[in-house]
Amino acid sequence: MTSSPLRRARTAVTSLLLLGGLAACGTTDSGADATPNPSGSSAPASESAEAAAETGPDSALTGCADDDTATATGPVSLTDALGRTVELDQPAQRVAVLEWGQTESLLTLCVSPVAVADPEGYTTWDTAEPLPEGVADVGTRGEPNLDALFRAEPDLVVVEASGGDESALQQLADYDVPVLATAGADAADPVAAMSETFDLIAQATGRQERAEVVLDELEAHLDASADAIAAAAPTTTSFVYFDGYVDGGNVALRPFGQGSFVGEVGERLGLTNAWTGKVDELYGLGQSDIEGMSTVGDAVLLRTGTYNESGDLTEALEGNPVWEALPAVAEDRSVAFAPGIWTFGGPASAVQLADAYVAAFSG
Amino acid sequence: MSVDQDPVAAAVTPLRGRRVVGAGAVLLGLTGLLVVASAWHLTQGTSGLGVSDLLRLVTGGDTTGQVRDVVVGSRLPRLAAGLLVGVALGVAGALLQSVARNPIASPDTLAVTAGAYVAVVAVAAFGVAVPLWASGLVAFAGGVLAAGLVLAMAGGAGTSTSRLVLAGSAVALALQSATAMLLVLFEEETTGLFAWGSGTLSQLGLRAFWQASPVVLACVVGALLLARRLDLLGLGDDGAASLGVPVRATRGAGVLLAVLLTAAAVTLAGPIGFIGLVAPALVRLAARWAPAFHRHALLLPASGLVGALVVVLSDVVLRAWLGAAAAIEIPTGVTTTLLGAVVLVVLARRMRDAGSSRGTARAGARAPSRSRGRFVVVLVVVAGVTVGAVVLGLLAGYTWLRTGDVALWLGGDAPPFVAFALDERAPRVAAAVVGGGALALAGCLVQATCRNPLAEPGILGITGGAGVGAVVVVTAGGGSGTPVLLGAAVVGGLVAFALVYLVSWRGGLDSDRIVLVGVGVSAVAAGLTTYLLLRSSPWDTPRLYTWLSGTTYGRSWGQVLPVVLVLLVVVPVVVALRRELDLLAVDDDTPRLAGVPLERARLVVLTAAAVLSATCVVAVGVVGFVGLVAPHAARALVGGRHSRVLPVAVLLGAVLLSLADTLGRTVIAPAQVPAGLVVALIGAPYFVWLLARTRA
Repeated sequence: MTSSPLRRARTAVTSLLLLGGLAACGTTDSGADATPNPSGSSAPASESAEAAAETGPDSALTGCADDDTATATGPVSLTDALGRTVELDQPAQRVAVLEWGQTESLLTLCVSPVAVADPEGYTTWDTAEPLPEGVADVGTRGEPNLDALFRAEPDLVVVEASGGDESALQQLADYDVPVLATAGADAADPVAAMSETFDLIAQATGRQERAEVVLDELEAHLDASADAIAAAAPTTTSFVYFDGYVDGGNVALRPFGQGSFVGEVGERLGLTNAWTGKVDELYGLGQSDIEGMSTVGDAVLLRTGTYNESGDLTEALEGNPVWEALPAVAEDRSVAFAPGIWTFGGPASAVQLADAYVAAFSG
Repeated sequence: MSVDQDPVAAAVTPLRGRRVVGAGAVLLGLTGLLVVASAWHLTQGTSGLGVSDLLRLVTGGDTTGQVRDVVVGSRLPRLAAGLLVGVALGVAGALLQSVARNPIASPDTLAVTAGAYVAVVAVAAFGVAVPLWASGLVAFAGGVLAAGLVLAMAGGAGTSTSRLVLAGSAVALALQSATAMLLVLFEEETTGLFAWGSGTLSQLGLRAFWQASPVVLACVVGALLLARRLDLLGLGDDGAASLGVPVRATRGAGVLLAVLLTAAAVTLAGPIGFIGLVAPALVRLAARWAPAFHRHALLLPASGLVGALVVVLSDVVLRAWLGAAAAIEIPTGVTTTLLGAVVLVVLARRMRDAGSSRGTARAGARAPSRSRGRFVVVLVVVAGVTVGAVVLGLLAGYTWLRTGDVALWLGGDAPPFVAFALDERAPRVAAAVVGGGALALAGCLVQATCRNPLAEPGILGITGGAGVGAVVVVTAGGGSGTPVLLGAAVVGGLVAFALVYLVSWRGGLDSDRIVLVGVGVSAVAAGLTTYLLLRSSPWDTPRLYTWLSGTTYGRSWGQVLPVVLVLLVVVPVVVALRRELDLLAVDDDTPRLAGVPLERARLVVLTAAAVLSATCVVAVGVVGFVGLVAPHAARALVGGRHSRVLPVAVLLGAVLLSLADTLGRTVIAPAQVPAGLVVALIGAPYFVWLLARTRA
């Protein structure tokens, strides 16, 4: 004879199962769900994005509101960074982007993406181009949600060649969604790599005219910035840009060496990157401890202005004899860049970087 | 056995004069070695200052003060941290090994390092504002809280050490999974923390050292005060109690001191592994020739000195070999893990056979045999739950579907959205079901052979080897998800298993020894994996990390097929061997008495487990918990006979992994949590609950 609580439990479980079964029956009303539903993604720009968007009326690049370039029509045939051929019947208008640097480039081309991977993170870390409302969130950059991506009905998906799971994107290819693989970075020539990626996206969206205008304006701005720095005649033109992490009593410093995007922009402005140590092949980043910083001589020390929860890194370094003895620190030549500059971005980020360099060396 | 050769007797008999002098000489010698190593350490650094510059400083020729600044600001803190960490971890390991009477107990067993790591990562991921002076306290507090949780679950610090080890391992696994999840989901906020997780000696200055040294000093003094009681504890609980030693209080004090020492060490240098295991082991090894070192009054300081020596020497040798600038890429913990694992394997080989049965300490082993009727009911219910889990897996996800959609899709008439979603989900659900079942089956086989409640396929080094194979391919430039990667993973797993089997073979296979060697090989594999990942991507949590955490993302039918084929081959073999499994699980003598060829049966069973786990890596990546929990749960439901346990365990494993996969895909959609992490997060509390149900 089953006890009363057991019988009640059995009844509860059975009725739950029945209810669940009933709810699960039937088919999804695909008519109502035909339009992709953006899932509360792009938060309004956070405080760190208060820095004026780089394509505003006063900045170096012409804003999209004033843009009068034409969009190309006609079929597109591209070779992407992995050597694959991407064929489109017409330039893509609904573009999904799975990495932040490429998202920024797309926005500079005045095309609004329909889906972005990790839009909240983008808004925090990359303030060069603000993300408009209504962009769908498709999950993390490492594992984008294919279901969400497909429901956004993209004409083209832009990915970074070194990241992501190619076999997963094969499923998109089976459903005739084209995938464009772009190179994220290349320490051999980071500025050229950025321009190539920018160009590739421009071709895919038919915005080659706009791309030419942007790249010309970028060149002009870099030249003007180099002149501004030369006119200011700083005491030294060598620099090291670094960031780092403090956990407990440990410190790990990350100087941006030869082949890093930040370092190359600086050298383009006529400055010298004082970090010549070993760097990784893709992003040009090195590793060091405090003692290693004493090898840079009297270079100006530059650092990010985007602070994490422990605040400014250099506050943690204060009091250390090696740090205090560095010429840059002793002579107050340790400067923070403006916050919100994404160090792996596109042309708009390059403009932000150039402005930051000018502010550091002539301020 | 003479007094010299019996460790316990050597610990309790009084010291004679000659022995004291001999012991003192050894300690002096160790200190001398340490001084030499430290001096060498001071001459190495990234700024290029060498011996001549240091000599200038000593002779007063350093006019600009540059050498003094570098020494005081960077080299001394690094050396001081290394020494303090080595001493703290060495003493903590010696305490735990004595309290647990187990030569492989270590500070990591109580989840202190795992707790510290998760606290630091959580603070970074959620952007909690922590003032700079308190940043070390985060790691300390995390470590102590985690150890407190373990102790509370195991029933107090004085409880039996097997429960302590089980609870600690379960909590450590859960916390490591939580850490992995945070590293994956909050990639930008936790940059650099993947590397920190393996330990680093780069110091900000001497502040952390001054904060930690009073704690370490006080604990070492406390440990020395406990030394005599610890000697007597080696006689066994009853023996010690009859001599007037308060057993529970002593054990509790020993554990607490070990926790505080480990937490202090983590604040200084991050989670550095294996020192607490290696240092006391080396001292005990040396004690064969100097029996005075079995006494804790000498064992504890010697362990501390040896620990410091190991840390400083490994740093010195690495920097001498690679140069200081290049050596920064390799976390200190990787070097100590590789070194310590080799020592562990060597020790394991020297271990004498434990002989007859080790005691079936499996949770649930004392469950009374269940009736056949109950078995059938359980089987039917679990099969029903499996079907339900499969259906739920197909319906759940970013887009919720309904059963009618599935019917349409099967018929080929579904609208594109539905078809795409189901085409993506179906292989993933299949991979989870098949992978979970295969892992559970492998877990049953391994637990039967090793007779160890913590045994699972990963413990034999298989999953670690598979990880190394995969990482080698990916960092050499192959893409993830290619057939080459999967083939390399399978080969790596099988090679690791072969290595473990051959190294632990000494005229026969001892279950304790194979577990120890397996732990050592797994640690080597983990160290190698971390090193290779950091070399290719020193700052970002590597994208491969999600695969290494066990994920079904991007799976296709072609990756599910190998596991199905292997299952079709292995299941009949295992069914034919079900009675031999029952005999193997008792002890080593029973199969011999029953006329079963012991070594051959064990080889067949373990190879089957190895092939199953290595192939599973293809479908679900590296998943660790299923092979541990599913057999336990099955035994708790239907008793110990393998003809009943195997089918139930397979189904339970399938349900567990498929539910974990479904949860991971749905709860925070569109972001995804790897299935392996969800399994550990829900498996660990369940495992501890199982633990709580068994008698001590």
